[in-house]
Amino acid sequence: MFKTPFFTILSKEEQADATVFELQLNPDCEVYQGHFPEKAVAPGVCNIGMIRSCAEEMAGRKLFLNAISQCKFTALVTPGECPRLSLRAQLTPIEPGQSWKLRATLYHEDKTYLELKAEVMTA
Amino acid sequence: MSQALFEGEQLYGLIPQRPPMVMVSHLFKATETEAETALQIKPDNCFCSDNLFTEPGLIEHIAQSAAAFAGYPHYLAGKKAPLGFIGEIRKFAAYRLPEAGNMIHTHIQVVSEIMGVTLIQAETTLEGKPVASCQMKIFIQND
Repeated sequence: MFKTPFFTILSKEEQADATVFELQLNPDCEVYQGHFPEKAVAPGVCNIGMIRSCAEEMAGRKLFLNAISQCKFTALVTPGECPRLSLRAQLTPIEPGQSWKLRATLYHEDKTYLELKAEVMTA
Repeated sequence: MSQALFEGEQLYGLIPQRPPMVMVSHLFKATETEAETALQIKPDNCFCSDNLFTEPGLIEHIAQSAAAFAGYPHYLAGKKAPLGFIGEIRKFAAYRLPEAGNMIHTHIQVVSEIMGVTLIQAETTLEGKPVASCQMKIFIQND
């Protein structure tokens, strides 16, 4: 894992059909030394890892991301220009306490960065 | 396994990522339509947690395997490694997580290539057993 965390959760709000997180990316995370040396771009896979961490926060346990049916990256996340992100996530049980469908959208105001349809299970 | 075409820092000629974000350590084969790569997982790899190489690391390894594949013709033409971005991941499945110290192998197969978007199919194995598979749409930024 990163010595300097990739992100922090600023807030978590339970809504009727989803949970909304406000997130702050950390431009000092060492990942940006190599992604990329000339231009800091948040790696798509780190955004997926961040979504899993938020899903773990929702489920109250460690989760294994065993399947992604589709993950669309619709805009580049650059921590210098857009360090604040919102995440809307839904966990729907497949086998209660064992596995869930995970739907998530990473966005800021009216711009969408990532849409994820996945399955997670108890790690 | 045959001798690598590129190994370690030689890969920097093919991919734009640099430490700590380099997730491919060997390129064994690259043709117009397929490639064979590997990653020697070091204990200090930034995607290792509790000695396991986690799912984002597996996906990044596949993406960089595709980047090395895409960068190879640029290298042969004497050009710099192009920046590439994942546009979409489809049908990703992780079967188990490798451990630090393991060497994982990936086979990349081009499914289609349309208007600068390459769709690849990837299979990652450890000692011949499946670890992960997925399809990926990759955009290569040409100068």
